[in-house]
Amino acid sequence: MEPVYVQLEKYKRGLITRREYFKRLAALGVATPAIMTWLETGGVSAAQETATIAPEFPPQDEIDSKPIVFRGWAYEPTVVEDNVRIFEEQFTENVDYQTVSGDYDLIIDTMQINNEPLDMFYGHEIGIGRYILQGQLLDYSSWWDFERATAEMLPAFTEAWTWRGDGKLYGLPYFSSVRGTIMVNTAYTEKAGLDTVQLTTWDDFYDLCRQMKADGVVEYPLLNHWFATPWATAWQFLWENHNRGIDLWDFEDAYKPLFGGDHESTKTLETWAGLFADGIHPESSFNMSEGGYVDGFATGDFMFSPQQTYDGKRLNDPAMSQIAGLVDFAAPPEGAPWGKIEQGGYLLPKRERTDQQLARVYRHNSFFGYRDINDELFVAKRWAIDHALNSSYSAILEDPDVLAAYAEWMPGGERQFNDMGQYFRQAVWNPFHQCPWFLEWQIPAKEELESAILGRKSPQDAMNDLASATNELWERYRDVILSNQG
Amino acid sequence: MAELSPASQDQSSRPRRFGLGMTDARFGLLLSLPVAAILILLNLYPFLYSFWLALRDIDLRFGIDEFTGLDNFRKTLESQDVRDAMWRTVKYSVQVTVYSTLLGLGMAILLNEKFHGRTLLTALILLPWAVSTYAAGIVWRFLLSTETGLFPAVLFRLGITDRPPNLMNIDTALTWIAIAHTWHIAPLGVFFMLATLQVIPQDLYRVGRIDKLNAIGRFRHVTLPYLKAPLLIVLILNTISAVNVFDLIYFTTAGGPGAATRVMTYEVYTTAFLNLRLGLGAAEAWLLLILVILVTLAYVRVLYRKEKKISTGEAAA
Repeated sequence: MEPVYVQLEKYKRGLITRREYFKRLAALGVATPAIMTWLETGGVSAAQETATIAPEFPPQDEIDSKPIVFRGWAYEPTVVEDNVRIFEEQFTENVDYQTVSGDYDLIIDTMQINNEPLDMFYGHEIGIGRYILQGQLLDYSSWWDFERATAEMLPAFTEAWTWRGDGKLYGLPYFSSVRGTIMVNTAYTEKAGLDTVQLTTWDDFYDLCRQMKADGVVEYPLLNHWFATPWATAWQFLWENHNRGIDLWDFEDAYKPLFGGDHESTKTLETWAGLFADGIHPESSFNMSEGGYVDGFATGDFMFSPQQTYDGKRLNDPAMSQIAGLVDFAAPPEGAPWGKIEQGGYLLPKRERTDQQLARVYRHNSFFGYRDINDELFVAKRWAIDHALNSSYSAILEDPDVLAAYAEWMPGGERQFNDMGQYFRQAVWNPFHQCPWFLEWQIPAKEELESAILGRKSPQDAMNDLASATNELWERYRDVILSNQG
Repeated sequence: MAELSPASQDQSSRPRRFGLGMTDARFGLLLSLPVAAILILLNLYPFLYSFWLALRDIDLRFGIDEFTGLDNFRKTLESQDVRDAMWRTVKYSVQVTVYSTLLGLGMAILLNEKFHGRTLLTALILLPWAVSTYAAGIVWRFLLSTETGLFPAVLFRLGITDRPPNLMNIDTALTWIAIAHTWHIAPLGVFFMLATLQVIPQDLYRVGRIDKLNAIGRFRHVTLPYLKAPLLIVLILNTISAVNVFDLIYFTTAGGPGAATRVMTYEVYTTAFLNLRLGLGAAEAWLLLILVILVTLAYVRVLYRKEKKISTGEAAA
């Protein structure tokens, strides 16, 4: 059957009735039970009560005079501009796309607080908590393709975009990754006589690092996720404890911290301090920027490093890496999560809009975050093929064109591609990412965790001090969070 | 030998008169009025507004806005993080001021000599000052990087260390940023002082030689009296630049490792702009402002005392 927009065009031209139009939507799997109810009740005003709005758009003169406002960070803006052009051509649309330079999150926060005109912006799943608390984010539940799209996403990734307070979806996937994917410099595994690196637990992995040091394979076997950016060390602490099954938070009590000096997570920090003290890990990582951290591994000085999945391409690029063609993934543990889900998404700011205007924004956002006029995952596939940005749409992870593109830079070929898929399918989402004071927490976390790793504080003292700083945040925001989560 | 200062060269102590019967002091005041008015307008409002913010608990991210009186100041003064950041600011400022002033003075004296290539050297010395702080931060981060940096590589290649060292460790990072800051701002002082050095009458040096003064003696009794005013201005500018450092740290270490380079401006940035707690951030900024005012007052006092001493000496003579 022809896609949704063709059906709409026919309906607009009077070639089919409104009832027929919605029936065809239903046949495409687009119409929700609410639309079917509207049909059953004869369509009298019931549409106004439905959660799903119809894909009906403003007249062309309104589209021409009022662009959709899209803001994003400055990643490959020429590709995005081209995608915008394709969208405009496919739908005779009008988009004002600009990149935001500087402190992206802060500028977007300010735009949100000031209620500036904005229809779509890039965001991470860790940001939705604070936007929702500000009452400045709109969910996608009334989008006509909502059910079909969510059915195609990997569940844990969908869950990450779903606000715990109301169970609604607040983001469509731009890129998806597993931060913490263990990159392996195969020059050293070959030297060590290792065919593959199979992960089991973090402790076993660190033991392997120690063994490599003891065997003289490499001076610094490990480049952990400990770099200068405020969130780096804090994030690994969160995901590693989560992978270890250690609970840091009471999610039912507004993210009350459960940790302190005598908590199980202190052992994680002790292990980290031991890695540094025993020369398994260099001190220089603490001054690296995020890009410098990837480039640091690309120097070939290290054997293992938890990185973003998509950075595998950069690390295997001869123009950017001294170990191009040598960077494989360690095989993730069987049936257990490793690392953390990380996603960029297309978020929809809450603004005054008519249903038609909202439909127009949904059409725009879903072109980027779901399918184009030809019902293709066009944008997601383009990012995957050209830039190795993964997607939480399982179809992308299984697409032969994507596999062929990845095989060009993956030294492990299809096996490595499948390992990547396994990282994705086993990845978990940490509900703390939705904590509205997540950003505030990262600051003391960086300070305390790094002080302990570098031996300036005992892990117990660092965890006690971090607990104290965290409790201040928890007490300050507890009521406002509980009142928003019901 | 008596100090031969520029003031002692002034032959007239009577106030000159311009048109409209104004003294030069009044005429100078009149010329300064437009600038003063603009400065007051541009500074007074934010100055008062920041104080108003400091009296409120404003948390943009969570929509909190309450009058809390002096509570933000109490929290700021009680905060161990703020105390640590303040101490780091003092350590950093002392280093930058001393390094940049001495380096600036040394380079100014060097450029005051006549030698081949002086013009080229003058241009080269000016270059770091012309570079944006962002670029300076990035360049120094790369120079110091253990994995890809020039300095660690040189130390390693020369056999001074057995592997490229981590220069920016938790103990040394602040000092290395102070060195980078010095590299960036020292040229400003060079030109302040060089301009003064070039107007010192050469006769005074000849008199000094007749009086059998060696190089140090000539510097102390001829050069230094002339340099006192520009030196104090350079000290003030360098100190304020050091106390207000932010971008250089932002682009090199982002406050780390741990909190090793988290100075007061970074603390204010974190509170006010990352956490969007404007009231608390404003209170912290006021503490920083008080520090800047105290340092500036101390310098001005020294300058004023010196000038007073000079003019008293002249009167006695």
